[in-house]
Amino acid sequence: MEVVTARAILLRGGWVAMAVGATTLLWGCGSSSPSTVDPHSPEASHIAGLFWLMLWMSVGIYVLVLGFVVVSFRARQSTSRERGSVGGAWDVPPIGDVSDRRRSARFIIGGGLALPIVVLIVVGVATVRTTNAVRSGPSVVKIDVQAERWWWRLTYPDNGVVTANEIHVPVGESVELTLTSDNVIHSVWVPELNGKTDVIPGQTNHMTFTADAPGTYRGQCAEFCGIGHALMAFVVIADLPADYARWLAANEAPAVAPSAGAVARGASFLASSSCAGCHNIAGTAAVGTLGPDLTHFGSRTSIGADTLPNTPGDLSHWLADTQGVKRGALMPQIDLTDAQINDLVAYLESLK
Amino acid sequence: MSVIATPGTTRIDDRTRPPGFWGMVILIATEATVFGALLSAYFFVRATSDTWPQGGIRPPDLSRISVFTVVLLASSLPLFWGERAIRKGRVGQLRIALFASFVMGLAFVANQAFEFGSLEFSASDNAYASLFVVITGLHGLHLIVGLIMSIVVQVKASIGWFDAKRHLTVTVFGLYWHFVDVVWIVVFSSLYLSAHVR
Amino acid sequence: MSLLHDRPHAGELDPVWEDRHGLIGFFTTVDHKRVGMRYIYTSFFFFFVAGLLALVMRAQLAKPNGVVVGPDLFNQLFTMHGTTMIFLFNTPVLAGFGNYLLPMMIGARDMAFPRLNAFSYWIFLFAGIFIYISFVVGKAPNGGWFSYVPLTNATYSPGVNLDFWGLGVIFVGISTTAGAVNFIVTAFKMRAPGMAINQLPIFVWSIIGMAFMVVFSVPVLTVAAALLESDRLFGTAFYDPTRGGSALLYQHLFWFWGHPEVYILFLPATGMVSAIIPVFSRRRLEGYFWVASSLIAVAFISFGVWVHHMFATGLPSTAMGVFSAASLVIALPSAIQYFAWIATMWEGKINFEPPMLFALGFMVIFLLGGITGIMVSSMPFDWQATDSYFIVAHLHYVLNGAVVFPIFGALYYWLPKMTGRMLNARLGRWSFWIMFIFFNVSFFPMHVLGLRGMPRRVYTYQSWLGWNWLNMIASVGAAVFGIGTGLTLINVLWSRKHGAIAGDNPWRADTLEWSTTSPPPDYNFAAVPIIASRHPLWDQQPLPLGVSGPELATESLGVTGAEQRQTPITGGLDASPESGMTVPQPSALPIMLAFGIAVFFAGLLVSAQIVLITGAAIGVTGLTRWAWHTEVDRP
Ligand code: HEA
Ligand code: HEA
Ligand code: HEC
Ligand code: CUA
Ligand SMILES: [Cu+2]
Repeated sequence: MEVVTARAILLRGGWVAMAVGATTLLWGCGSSSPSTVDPHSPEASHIAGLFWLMLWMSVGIYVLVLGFVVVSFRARQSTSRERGSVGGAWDVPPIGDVSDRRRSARFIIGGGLALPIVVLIVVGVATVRTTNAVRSGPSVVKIDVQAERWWWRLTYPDNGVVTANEIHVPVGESVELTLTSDNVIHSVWVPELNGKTDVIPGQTNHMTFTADAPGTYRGQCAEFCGIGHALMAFVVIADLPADYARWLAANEAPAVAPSAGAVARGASFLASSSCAGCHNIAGTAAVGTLGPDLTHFGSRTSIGADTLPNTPGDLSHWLADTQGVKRGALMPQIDLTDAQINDLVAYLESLK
Repeated sequence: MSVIATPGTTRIDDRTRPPGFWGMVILIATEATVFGALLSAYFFVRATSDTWPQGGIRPPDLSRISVFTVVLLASSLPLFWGERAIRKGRVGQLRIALFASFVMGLAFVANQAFEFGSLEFSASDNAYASLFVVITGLHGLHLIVGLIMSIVVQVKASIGWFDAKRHLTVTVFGLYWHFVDVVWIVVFSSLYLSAHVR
Repeated sequence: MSLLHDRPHAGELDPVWEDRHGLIGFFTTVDHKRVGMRYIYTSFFFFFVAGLLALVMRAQLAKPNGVVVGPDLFNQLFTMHGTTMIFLFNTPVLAGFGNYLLPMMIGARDMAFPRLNAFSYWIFLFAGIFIYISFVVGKAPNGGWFSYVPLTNATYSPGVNLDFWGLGVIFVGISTTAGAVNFIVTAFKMRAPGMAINQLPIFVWSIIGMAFMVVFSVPVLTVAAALLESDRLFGTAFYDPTRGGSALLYQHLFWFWGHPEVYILFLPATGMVSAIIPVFSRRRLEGYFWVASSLIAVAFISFGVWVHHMFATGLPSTAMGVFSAASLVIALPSAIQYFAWIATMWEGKINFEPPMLFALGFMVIFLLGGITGIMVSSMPFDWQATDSYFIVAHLHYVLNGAVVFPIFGALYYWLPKMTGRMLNARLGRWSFWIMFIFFNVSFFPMHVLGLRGMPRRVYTYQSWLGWNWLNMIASVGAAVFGIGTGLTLINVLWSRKHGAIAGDNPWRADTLEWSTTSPPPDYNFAAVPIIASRHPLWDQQPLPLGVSGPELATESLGVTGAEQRQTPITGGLDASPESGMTVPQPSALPIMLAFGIAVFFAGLLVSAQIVLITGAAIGVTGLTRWAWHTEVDRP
């Protein structure tokens, strides 16, 4: 009776698999993940709606079609046979009469052509509608995003703000990102706000979204771009309009002047060291453009494209062991004494 | 192993095409795909480019190449003639035909080599230059392969390899040669003629 | 005409068809069966290697902030894993089965171009070695299996890593293309007399469809990679946006091949399923016409959907919508095949032998993989899914599920024919169930990971992203899945000595390969069968065998033909005899030419002119000698 066992296992296995599958899927919502099914913008909501529609249709089709498969096991199995033995079970198959063949043909056309055509029309219509819904009109807030290896250079052209890895946007307003790259291909992806748009050298792409609630939404580069690809993240911070205005005003200003003590020591060290060749700190001698603008570094939440949180401890870790924290980063390992690191940390964190 | 049978239909027809012929046809299909891809690349880059040719390069000069284009295309004619001849068993006529087309092909390659030498740009200048050099160069390479094949066929002809019945090599070689000619028509229209169209 | 006419054969035929002895024989054989077996063994070797690479990746990803490998090595791992699986496992293993089975199924004594066939194999082997030398010198390719520019140009990927990939891909493409030429001509010109086009086994149809896709797509990959190498080695500007080139051009060229390629892999796999299901359901395949047409339809449609891999590139969305729609349409041929299989099982009585189990496992897995394919072909959803683990899940459900499962089924089904020994069914069942269950354990969670925002090709991730457990489950599943495949490996090795003797036709199957001994004699068929049915071994008992007649068209059919190393050439839709072809003697030309090409590529790789010229010289000499030695019209 091993045949039956095999079939039973297959059946039971199928149910278990579906139960496990359903649970893991539900797991997709909630939690701390930057999840596509936890949308926070109309764009992402439209797509999530499309997803759920397709998901439930898929589950339906899956169960239906697999149901046919399982039933087909039983259909003509009434005669008992010994498995593997050459004999009854291995007879030359009959040709089958015309009505058999008609039945099969109807089944094949019905299941293989009619059913999918209906389903595909639904999917097609939903696709077109979602595409149109996601394509939005002109935006007021415009932000230039330049993908670097492996961080994001951000410019607010209307306000002259330059920053990195942390996109502040006002809640409820349509935001348009202008995406360019002068190196390799990257891709901008903030699952909770919108799908991906590639950033391709030699071409300017655009991406729009409207955050519908204040919060921090994690994004990450989604196109493989070399050694730093895994650690090329960023955050979108949706502020209430007032907070956003405050943030803009603060970031338009040049860097705060160093007070005394460690901060001042750090400032003068930075201005005279190689740091100044790569980093810009508006209002100081540091005018480099290779690395992220540090003018308001202290106000940012992360270091190294969301590789570390921005705390003094992590910053000294970053400075002491850049290549250990982010292998391949285009910031070289710089020989610094502990004292120098402390001073730099104090200064950088003061740049609110 | 018992029963024997003779097939119902037996067709004896020396015009049926043997595997070698079809092998060459399909090989030609892959080659055509290569050129198709390259020419698509040409027009793709052209469509995304503001100026064409790029970087101030002048469109290719037509006068000289037109003459040699005629020479190359004409080189197919002796081959047709030669194939007809060998079908009647006239090896001598075939040899003359092969030699004539060989000389015409050689002349074309020689001209290409000369034009390559006097290009006013190099393949690394910009994408247009790269496309031009690589596409015409690849065609030239095909022609050189054709010339080598022609030598083999000519030697075979001269030692009496072929007769009225057995001359598949000639047919297969002819196919290839005609293909290289036809490709040139497309390459010539795309790279030379169309570059003058604004 | 009588029985007496057919002389006793084996003893007299063997010397005519035998390979040379010893090592020389090994290197000069042109027998499609030996070549096919080599293809299969070699590509399975690569499968296990690439699988091990995957297990290292899974070990690294099992936990957040993994420390098993660093980013530089990880990037090499997934590049080599994907490249190996696609180019050195899947494509060649199917070519191997095709090589072995196609002539047998159509009643031919060899392929149309046996030496070209041997050549294809040597090229594949050398290309595989070529690509894997990169690991030995510690410079494996690291640009992903589609190696997008500009990341892979000389500026951003200096060093020889990417050259191994670019040149290797061109190199192995020669093998695939030559193989396709061979398949097409064989299928159309070498069929046993009477095997009309509507009597071809479905597997043969699938090989035909596959071969046509190869003919019109692989050259495009060759162009894509050749232009890449030209940019890298000679400084041309095809893909350099700063010099008027285009990065997207590469993507178009790559995916114009890349999409048909996945069906190149998939089609023969479905062909295998269409061979297995009827035999183990004891039922003729229902809807033969529909299935055959579906295969051809897939081959056509697959050329119209490549942009669905580029939905996020910012092309105008109306243009992309067309490709989105075309991608939806491609569900239809798959669905037709699917329902034809169900109908066959429905009307039949199923024997749950290992080949059938793998076919059923295929159906369960492919259904899911196909449906996720439909989901991602809906453009807006793909914007979310693309380049995330959702795609990794889709591609493994189709590649690892819908292609690897049929291949394992085919091993259990056809290896007895090839070696004469059955595989152990018990071990086979264990292997199947472990593979089936842990395949899902490993790859199902990846869908969820993708939906939760995990991009692909990341060597590490942070602990607070909610990806930890799912990754751990996937890793454990992968390891156990690997063990499941290992059981089949053990089974194969074990069966060589201890397997039960298979006999001619252990499954009472319908196609011609089962009419000869297992393993088959060098000449496959002493006398070529005359076909009058789609299922000759079921309907034509006893099988009528050809006798050599006096005319050119028929002299090769009988034993006399076999004695002269002849195989029949037939033509027309109904395969009427046209003439005979002498199967070439064993020859060193294939390996010599392949070697020349290998040296040539090595020369390009190290940019050494001497090596380059040596290789070219060997190659041209080989080619010229080959042209000289064409048997076709030797007087
Ligand atoms: C064997 C290989 C194989 C097969 C068969 C398929 C089959 C399909 N694939 Fe897949 N695909 C890959 C291999 C394959 N794919 C790979 C390797 C990649 C990733 C490449 C990379 O980026 O690395 C990829 C990526 C990929 C993408 C790009 C995703 C991205 O990168 O953003 C898309 C988008 O449209 C897609 C679509 C499809 C579709 C529509 C099918 C269809 O053919 C599926 C049709 C089948 C069915 C639907 C099931 C049977 C049908 C029924 C039982 C009827 C009922 C069903 C319905 C009505 C829905 N695939
Ligand atoms: C046929 C194709 C194929 C197959 C079979 C597989 C099989 C597997 N793949 Fe692969 N995969 C691809 C094709 C394939 N893959 C492609 C094309 C990519 C994209 C690459 C890219 O992005 O560029 C990819 C990418 C890919 C990734 C994503 C990498 C990334 O984006 O960062 C991952 C991660 O989990 C993965 C895992 C696996 C695993 C665990 C298996 C398992 O099935 C492997 C199972 C293990 C084995 C088969 C070996 C173990 C065997 C033994 C140990 C033998 C034991 C012996 C005895 C006991 C005697 N694959
Ligand atoms: C050769 C150029 C270079 C030099 C010199 C250099 N940096 Fe950097 N720096 C970079 C780059 C590039 C990055 C972005 C790294 C990444 O995220 O991949 C960076 C990132 C940083 C960051 C994190 C910024 C952010 O928002 O994520 C800090 C802080 C920083 N550098 C400080 C310093 C200090 C202090 C020095 C001198 C001791 C210094 N850098 C020297 C190039 C340089
Ligand atoms: Cu930038 Cu990946
Ligand atoms: Cu595709």
